[in-house]
Amino acid sequence: MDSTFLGQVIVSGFLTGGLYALVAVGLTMIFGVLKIINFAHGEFLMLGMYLSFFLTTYLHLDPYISLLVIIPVFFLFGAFVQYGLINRILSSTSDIHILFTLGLSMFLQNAMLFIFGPYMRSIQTSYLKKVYTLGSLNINSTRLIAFIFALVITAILYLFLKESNIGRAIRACADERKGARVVGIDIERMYLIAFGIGTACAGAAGGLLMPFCYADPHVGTTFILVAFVVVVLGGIGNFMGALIGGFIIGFAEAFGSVVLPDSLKQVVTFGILVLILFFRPTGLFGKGRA
Amino acid sequence: MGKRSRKTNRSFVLVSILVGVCLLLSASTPILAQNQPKEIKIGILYCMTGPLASIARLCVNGHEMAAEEINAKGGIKSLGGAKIKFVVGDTESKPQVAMSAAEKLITKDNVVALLGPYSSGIAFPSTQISEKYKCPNILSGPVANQITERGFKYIFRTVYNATTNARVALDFVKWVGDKTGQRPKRVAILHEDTLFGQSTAKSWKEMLPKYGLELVAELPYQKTTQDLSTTIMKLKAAKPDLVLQVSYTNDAILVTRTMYDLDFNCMGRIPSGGGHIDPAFAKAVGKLADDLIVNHHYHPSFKGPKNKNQIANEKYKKKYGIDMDDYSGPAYDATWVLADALERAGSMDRQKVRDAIAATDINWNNSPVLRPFQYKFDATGQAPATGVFTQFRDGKMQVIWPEEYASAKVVWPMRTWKERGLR
Amino acid sequence: MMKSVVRSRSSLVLVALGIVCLFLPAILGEYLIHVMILIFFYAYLGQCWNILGGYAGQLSIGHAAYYGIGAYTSTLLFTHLGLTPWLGMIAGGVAAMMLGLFTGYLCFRFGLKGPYFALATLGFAEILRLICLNMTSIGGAQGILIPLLGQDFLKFQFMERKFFYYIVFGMLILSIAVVTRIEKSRMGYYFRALHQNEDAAEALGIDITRYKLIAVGLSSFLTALGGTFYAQYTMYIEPEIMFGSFTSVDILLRTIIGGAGTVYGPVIGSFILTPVSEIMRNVVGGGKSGINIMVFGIIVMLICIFMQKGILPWLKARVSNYFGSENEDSASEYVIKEGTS
Repeated sequence: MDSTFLGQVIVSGFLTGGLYALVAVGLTMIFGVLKIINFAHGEFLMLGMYLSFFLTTYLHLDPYISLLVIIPVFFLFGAFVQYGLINRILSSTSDIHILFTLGLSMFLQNAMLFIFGPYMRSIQTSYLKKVYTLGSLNINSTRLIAFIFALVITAILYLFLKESNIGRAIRACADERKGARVVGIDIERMYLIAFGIGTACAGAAGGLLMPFCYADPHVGTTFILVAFVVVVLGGIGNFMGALIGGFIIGFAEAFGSVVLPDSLKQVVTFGILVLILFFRPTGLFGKGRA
Repeated sequence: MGKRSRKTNRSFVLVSILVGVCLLLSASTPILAQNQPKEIKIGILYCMTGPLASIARLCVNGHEMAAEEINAKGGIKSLGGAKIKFVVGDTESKPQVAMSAAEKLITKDNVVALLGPYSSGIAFPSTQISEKYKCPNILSGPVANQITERGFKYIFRTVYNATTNARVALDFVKWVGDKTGQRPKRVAILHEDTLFGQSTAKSWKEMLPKYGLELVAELPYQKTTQDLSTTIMKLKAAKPDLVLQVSYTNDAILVTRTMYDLDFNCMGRIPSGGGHIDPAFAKAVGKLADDLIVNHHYHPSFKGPKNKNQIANEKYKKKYGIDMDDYSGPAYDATWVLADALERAGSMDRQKVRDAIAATDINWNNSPVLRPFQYKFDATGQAPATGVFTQFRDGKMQVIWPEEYASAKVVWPMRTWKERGLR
Repeated sequence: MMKSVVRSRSSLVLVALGIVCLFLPAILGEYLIHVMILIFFYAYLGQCWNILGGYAGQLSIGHAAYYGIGAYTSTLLFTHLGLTPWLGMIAGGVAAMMLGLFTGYLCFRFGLKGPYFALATLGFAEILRLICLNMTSIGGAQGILIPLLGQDFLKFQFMERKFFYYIVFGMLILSIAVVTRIEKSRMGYYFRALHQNEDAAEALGIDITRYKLIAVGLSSFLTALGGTFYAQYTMYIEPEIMFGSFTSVDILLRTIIGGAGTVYGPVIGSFILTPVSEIMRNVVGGGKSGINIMVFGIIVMLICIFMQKGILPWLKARVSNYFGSENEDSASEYVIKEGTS
């Protein structure tokens, strides 16, 4: 394997890792605050792809401009899902949480299948023709832009959580729910916001993927499984963990697909999941027992 | 006597007239029934939904146009002018659904024969159902060898199989090498991982040594993959002269785009039909496809007797807005083969129809079929089908081989992305 | 007094229903027999899952792993060695059981519970699916088509549906018998204990890991038998259907909806969901797929909100309210269960 090959693999790892990080950050936030494993997260990503497809194809919006629409829409959508649906089972056992979000995932996936059919949709943009060369390395502009935006969104989110009042309130909820209530934080409102943000992350990731991926109703399943691995790897509820975990998995997949045939690269991902679950279920950065 | 007898007389006459009319009617009913054109139900089994739906639509177009012509000419005369009526089954691009759809068409809709499916992976299981229920099944799309190698008696194929496909492709490579002096030595095979890809790749692998070619890489990939960058990088690292490829539509688009992204160049890339003929492919990649050489089952530029290909193509274009292609052409032919068999069978009994198909012996001189070979099935149900090669120029396909049908000269070796002005 | 009358009456009803089922193939057409086969089949699979997920309370969302191993083992033994699928079925069951015990042991030893255990089971099923997808020697993405050999009992192939009907009905009866036995036995008692409160059960001296492993072993063995049945019924297997995550969900769906941890929950769940699915598919049909699963999703969500234990326990609670004080202990048993979860 020569240096160009190696370089290209590293680039691939970075680009994919950034997107995984964005999806995982949303998922981990939902878990951290609401203590729910959201199996429908992948479907939110899929919905983001479809929305981007429609905005681009029928309203002729630039796919990246359409993010300005997608993010707020998905924030509201997430808040609505939380308020109308998730709220009702919040006090049940974790088994019910899993089953409920699985049901939601089945519903969303198949509603899209029923309404829009199983056809793969893709968009044709001028960005696709732009390839940046860095020495002997080639990077398609759509992937590069997706990577940059993913990092930007994650950075903004990080600052929000760290510096703003709401952000601190959210973190308080995640760390110590009872204490947060005692000091007067409106827990229910934090739930709405956290779920909204998590959903918006998934939707944004979908919008960023659209220029170079296909949208079809089942695309969410692939991403949700990887997102879970990243979240568990980084520590459920841990923001930095999700970010770093995203890159770790991105690289693992990139290097995995060199050694193994293309379709086996996910075995590496699941192998990591299984290992982490056995040896360190709280994740690399997590704290507390499983 | 007077009034009563007159009334009785009148009713007697009325009743006799009534009885007479009834007798006449019942006597003539069988004659009337015989003159009623019946319909012959033929099953059309394709992936109407799913990733191959656009291809399925084109196949069905071909069947439809042929059926309309057959019915317009008076239907199947030996069956009293019965018209062909299609019953459509959707395989949803899933083998299990294909099997149950085939079963429904055969046992519930009682079709006389089946046409389709298109893809090898789907046809392989569904034809087992056809065989189980002894329903004749003509295929005009799938190439996997195994489909006609199971000793089945009811399955017939009107396109070439994977072995012939491989041989024709390598014959072409030899021809173009001899013609231009640029002979490839190192070959890589890039293929999707279902039966279509596996079968074609296997045939190529077996034949490469006979043509003095060396296999330097075999790269299978998942049909539904979203990212082929590492696969193409591995391809690049293997430095092949010639890339033989098997892909469906979406992965074909992805491969071309990724090769563009990663600046992969070689002497020639020859995909084996499949998704590359789908108009959706050309639409999605545009000029990125230039210099790509594709082999086909059919192309409308054949110069058939009395310009029949051009005439048929004009008709098709008027109806559907696009040229005939690999999907509609063979489908059209298969429908005519079936009609010819039905005509000779003179019956809707599946066994008789099957035997009639097995005895088929027509060509484009003595029947409306559009492809240039003898439609005569061997013992395994395979017809000696041929193909044609085209090359993309400015986003459009031009025939380059066999030379007697060529509309353009081949460009070999393939120009690099830079040479084509795309990078 | 009332309880035993109710109980013997309901067993009478069940036996009567069972006898009716025996005669159905004589009067129903091929398509309806097919629907009944599906009902029994999914009830059977759900019942197998019930042992681990319902009674022992370990939510497995990767049960397709055992299902797939059962199917692939018997099919490969048949296509390569000509071994009759009847024996292949047992071999598949044993193979699945070994996998179940192995992965189960790893999970339980490391104390994986709840969502972590669920994710681990999913991970295992996915790994198996990917491996199968890539091994062209066992079919790869194309899968394996079982060669048609006509009517042959030894080869588990039949030209008429009714044979499959009786076989799967028998399997269902077997699974119901197993679960009934579990429910009434001490083992069942331990399962329920560790389901409700693992720490308390452990404190009482119950060997948690041992009983969890028994549950996994039993569940995986029986699920694998279902895999072989499916392979022989449809004559075609491939990694996506056999190991896919949707199949895992399909296996547990009827049980959750009907009532996990009850004997007839999976049966009721299947009797409700399967016809609903078929009706929707036929009424809507014509290329508009997905509506049946969409409705399943809605039903699951509704059950989670309103009838968390499933339909059967909800019905039982309503019925016992109706019958008043006679059945008070079963009602309060239900209430206690709610409290501790």
